[in-house]
Amino acid sequence: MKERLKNFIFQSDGKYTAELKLEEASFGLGKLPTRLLPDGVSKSICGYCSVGCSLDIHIKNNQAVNLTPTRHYPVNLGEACPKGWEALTPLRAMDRAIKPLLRNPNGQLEPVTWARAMEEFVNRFVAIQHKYGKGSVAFISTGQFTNEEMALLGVLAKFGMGFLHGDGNTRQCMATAVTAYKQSFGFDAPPYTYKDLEESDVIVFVGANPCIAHPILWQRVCMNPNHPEIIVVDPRKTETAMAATRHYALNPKSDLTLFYGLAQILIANGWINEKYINGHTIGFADFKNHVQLFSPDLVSQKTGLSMDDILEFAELIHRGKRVSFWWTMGVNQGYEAVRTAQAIINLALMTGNIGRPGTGANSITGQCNAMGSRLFSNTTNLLGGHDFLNSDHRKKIADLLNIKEDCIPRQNSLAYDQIIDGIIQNKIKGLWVIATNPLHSWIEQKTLREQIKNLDFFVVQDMYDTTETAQSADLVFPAAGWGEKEGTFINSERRLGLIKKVAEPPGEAKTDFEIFKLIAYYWGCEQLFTEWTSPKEVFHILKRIAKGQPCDISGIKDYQMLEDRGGIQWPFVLAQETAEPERRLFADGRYYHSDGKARFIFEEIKNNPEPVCDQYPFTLLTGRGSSVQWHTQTRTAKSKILRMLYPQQVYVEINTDDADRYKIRNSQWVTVATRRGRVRAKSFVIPTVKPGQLFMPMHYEQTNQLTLSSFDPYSRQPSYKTCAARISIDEWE
Amino acid sequence: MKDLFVDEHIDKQALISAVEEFAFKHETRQIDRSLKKYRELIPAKSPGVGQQYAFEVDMDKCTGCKACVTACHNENGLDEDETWRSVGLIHGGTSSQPVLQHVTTACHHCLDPACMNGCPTLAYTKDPVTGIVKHLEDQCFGCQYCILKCPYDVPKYNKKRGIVHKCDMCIGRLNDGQAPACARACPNGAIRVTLVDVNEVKRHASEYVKIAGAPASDYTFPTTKYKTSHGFSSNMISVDHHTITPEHSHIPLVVMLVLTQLSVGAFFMQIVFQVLMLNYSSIFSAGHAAVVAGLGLLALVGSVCHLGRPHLAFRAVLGFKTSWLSREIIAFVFFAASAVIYALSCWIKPFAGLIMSVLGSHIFSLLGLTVAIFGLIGIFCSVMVYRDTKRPFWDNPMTTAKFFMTAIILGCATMLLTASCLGFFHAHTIASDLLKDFGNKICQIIVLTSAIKLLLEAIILLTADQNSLSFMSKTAILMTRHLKRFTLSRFICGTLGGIVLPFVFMQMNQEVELVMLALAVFIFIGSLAGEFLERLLFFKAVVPLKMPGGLNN
Repeated sequence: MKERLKNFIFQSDGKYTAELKLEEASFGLGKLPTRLLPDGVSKSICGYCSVGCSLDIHIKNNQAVNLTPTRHYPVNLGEACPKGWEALTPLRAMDRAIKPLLRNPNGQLEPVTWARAMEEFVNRFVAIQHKYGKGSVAFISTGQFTNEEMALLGVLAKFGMGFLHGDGNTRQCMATAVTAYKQSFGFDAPPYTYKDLEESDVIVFVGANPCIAHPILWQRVCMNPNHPEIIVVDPRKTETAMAATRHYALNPKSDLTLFYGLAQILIANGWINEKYINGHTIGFADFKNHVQLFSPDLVSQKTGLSMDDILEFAELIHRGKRVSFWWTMGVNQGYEAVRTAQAIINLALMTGNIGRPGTGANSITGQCNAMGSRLFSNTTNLLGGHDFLNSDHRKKIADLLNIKEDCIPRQNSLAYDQIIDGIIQNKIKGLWVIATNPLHSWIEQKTLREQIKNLDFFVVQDMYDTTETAQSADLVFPAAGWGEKEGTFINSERRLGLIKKVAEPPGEAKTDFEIFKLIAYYWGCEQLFTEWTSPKEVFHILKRIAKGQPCDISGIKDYQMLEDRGGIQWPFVLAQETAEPERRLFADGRYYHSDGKARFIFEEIKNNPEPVCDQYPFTLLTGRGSSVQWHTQTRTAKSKILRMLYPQQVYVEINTDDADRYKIRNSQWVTVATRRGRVRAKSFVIPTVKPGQLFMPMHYEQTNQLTLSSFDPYSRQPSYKTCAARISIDEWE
Repeated sequence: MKDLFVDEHIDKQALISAVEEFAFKHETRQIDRSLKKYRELIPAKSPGVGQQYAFEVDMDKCTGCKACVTACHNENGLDEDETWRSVGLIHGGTSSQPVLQHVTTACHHCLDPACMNGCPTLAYTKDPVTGIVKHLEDQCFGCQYCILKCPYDVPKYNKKRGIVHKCDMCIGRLNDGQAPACARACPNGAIRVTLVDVNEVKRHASEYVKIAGAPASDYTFPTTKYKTSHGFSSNMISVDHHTITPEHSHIPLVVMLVLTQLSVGAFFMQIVFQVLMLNYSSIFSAGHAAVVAGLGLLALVGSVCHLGRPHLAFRAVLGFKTSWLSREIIAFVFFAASAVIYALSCWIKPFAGLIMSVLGSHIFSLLGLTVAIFGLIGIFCSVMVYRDTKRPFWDNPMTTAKFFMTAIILGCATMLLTASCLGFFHAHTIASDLLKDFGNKICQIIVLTSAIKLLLEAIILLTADQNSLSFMSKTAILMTRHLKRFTLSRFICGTLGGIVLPFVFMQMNQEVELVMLALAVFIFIGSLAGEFLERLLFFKAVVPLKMPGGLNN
């Protein structure tokens, strides 16, 4: 009684205090809130970006209740970015798609049974193919689901349903690196391992902002004990540029000129590794000839960098014992992107900075399984990095899958932009979009939004039926998300990792794997898939397909081995297994071209398809604004915590001096316009963007109303990062 | 048949299949303390005498990934929109040398915590060993005064529970040799816990939380040290520097402040007239006293409504040693109690007789004096409650002037109203006499005070300057732009009720009682509405002290 009275007046303990109490958890997780103490932990690779962090999912009463980054995983070493920390939250969102939806005659999406949805899907696609030909239908998939699902979709669509055309949203992020590597090395093979970031003495980031885009890779830079020279090549003063030792803020899209200019200086000073060039490459003499014209003077003029800066940059590369080059979307999303990536590769080759610890010409990938999509989606390549045009490859794959060779198309698929062109030209009449949101993300968005109406049948398969794309569909399949299924991903450094099922999909949502199997049944091609019973079994098929290829994974016994080893990098060849957790390629200087040599590839500089002019005097840059947004925000916007960490409305960064000239104040509504349209945005006046440039983050739907449809001719990757724009104080107000 | 296939022939991936297969690790592994990375994040020893724990942020390493925010949220099992760490952004420099810096921030575990000093329930403690400023969740009754007090915007109100939550530096982890969630989650090791010397923090206060936009450190003596190798240019500002948004209205507090001030003011008028008029009638004073005491009680009820856990309102008195809020509440409780006794004794003659026979005939004057003194102390404490937050709009002689002038204006208006009512409805001669003799004087006071008060308030509006954006300028911008309608209404009500109508009142033939009554009613309503709006603006247009915010705010 006395105690109760005392407590009534002064209570230092009780239910609210207990809620926040921490207790030592099992599994080496340290202290956790008592009510969240897990009774099991399941490791799973994060489903956002390509870094491929491992997360310990905390399980309590068969529910995923929380997560922490895995401490002993060679990729993330116990850390994760905010998206990873919040990976479970989007699964519990209220707007998950829980039933198949079919557009009724009144134009509304209404719930139907799976059986009805399947019949509709099959009947309509068959009818279109019957009327307009096999090639009149296409699919657009993703870098967001597992290898097993990608292969199943690719085989189903192309070998089972007779699709000729299919592509993925990986076209928007990695196509350039793929093409560049294929042409230069003979295979799409990023040569590095993350440890190289710790072992370099000079690290060059080109068009990359890992502090924000790949924070867990930046961790490895911080762990580098060599006090490396960190060089950032980027028009903006990004977080990474701030943290770097050198920032070269070149003019937008002058990077190819800069790299040719650097090559010229290196050659002129004899700062090249002739032994390596002679032993392991082809085409250097022509390349040398080509870059001769790129004098420091000219390069300075084009790039806006001083001659001293350019000479200093070249000298830093020369002086470095272990120089690594890393690039991402600043390079990949350009109209001469493949040649730019290859210009970087050329610098690495000519200085012998490849195949050794801390070196390499390294493309950091975007999506969690972009690399899987590159190898196993059966879109741009025939499965496992094979070639649709090569009859030996077709026969090999047909034999491996135990199918008839004539199931396999003898032509390459149209690329993403060509599929959309096909819609415009009435050649593509049926489209199936899986786990991506093109009506938000595709370049020059408005064109696509209008053209989508031209389709006879439009199917969307997604976790949410609220995306811009799903809302325009005739049929929506509700799909399970990351965390609700199992399979494998491949990260940037070629590491295969496992994802686990730790939650039940909501309502009638099914895994993509299950949906594809259902379609196979309803289409009547299920006999192709007798062996494809579960992701685990499909993994063995993938092993067979990749055997003998550079991406050979025949040494990986099964999922259990991936789990035990903390992921395994390709190649991992049967009978040549190694316990080394972090491996790089080309230590022997042998590349994948038949002669074993890498190629110097180069080309004339192209003109910017939309230079600035009096009417549109600004260059509009787009890119990542924060570390907490992903893709079109379909998932990240579901977390209240993540939403607290970025602006809710689209904004545009403008230089302080420009803002003064245009009388634009901070945090004011302004209009940004290009020849494609105009949008409202909040002004963000900051000196980190250079005068004459604007920056808009890509995660807002408005941004791609402004971008210009232009593409790299080799990779067909959209050039998101540059177009001409104007800005004014809000025209609506 | 096909439906059957859908339901049964697909091998559904069994729930948590993977977990069953390999994930459950049944060994209870201890946390791996051997990891150098984690060991370096906390001091090897507990704080010695004259020392305490403190956060240390290496700004060179903070690149704005915000993992610390999400880790704090997850590892502490907080609500879906709750986190105790945030990340701001400051920038400056020139186009050729731009500077960008993210600033991660949580509680600074101050030497002299404003939250703790202001807490009326003693729900904050400063741990004598670690120096951690700990909030006692179960003691808190959700008055949110700590939120107003903290110059770093640290405590956060948890609406679901009706209490405040804040960072405790993961004391549960620290005591067991584990690093706080935020420190452990930083991929770059930018956040550490270190030991600081208390005297050192006092001596060199300005070296702590030395960040553009953060308040001066000599107020609460925060202990977080932000390290930078390159220093910052002088033009650094936070990205939310230009973002101007109204604050919470705190309606119950608006009601409480205005009504207590009215009540005290009106009571004072009663005392004044008792002195001035020999034949001052007890019936009149009874009516007036009832109004005064009633509104005073209403004000107290209003303030209780503000609490997250109103049933614990009595805890408000515990913090009187340091908390102006405690003192305010105590003063007003005494004021209301004595005013009620006073009113009762006016109404119930036997009661009054009883009191007089026990305590002597002077007791009424004494009681009146007591009520008045508690009332004045109460208003003074109210002033101090807000001045003690150090928010420039509040910590200002203007606040003192405003609160007391509200008492004068509304006290007079109430007097005018009760006298008019009694005169009209009861043909009360004394009330009528009072109006005749002093009506004009009361109106003069109302006009004069209202005019001065409105003028003072208008002066603030003149400080609006888009280019300087000082605290006061932001307040003025809020009032003239975002809260334009409130401001306009405030000045209209104040001018009508406080100046125009009293002026008309003075010009009228006082024989027409109905008109006089109508005027008195409208003077009262106008002035009251005006003061309510003034106080609403007081809360909505204040610009709090805080750490630099992010682009999100």
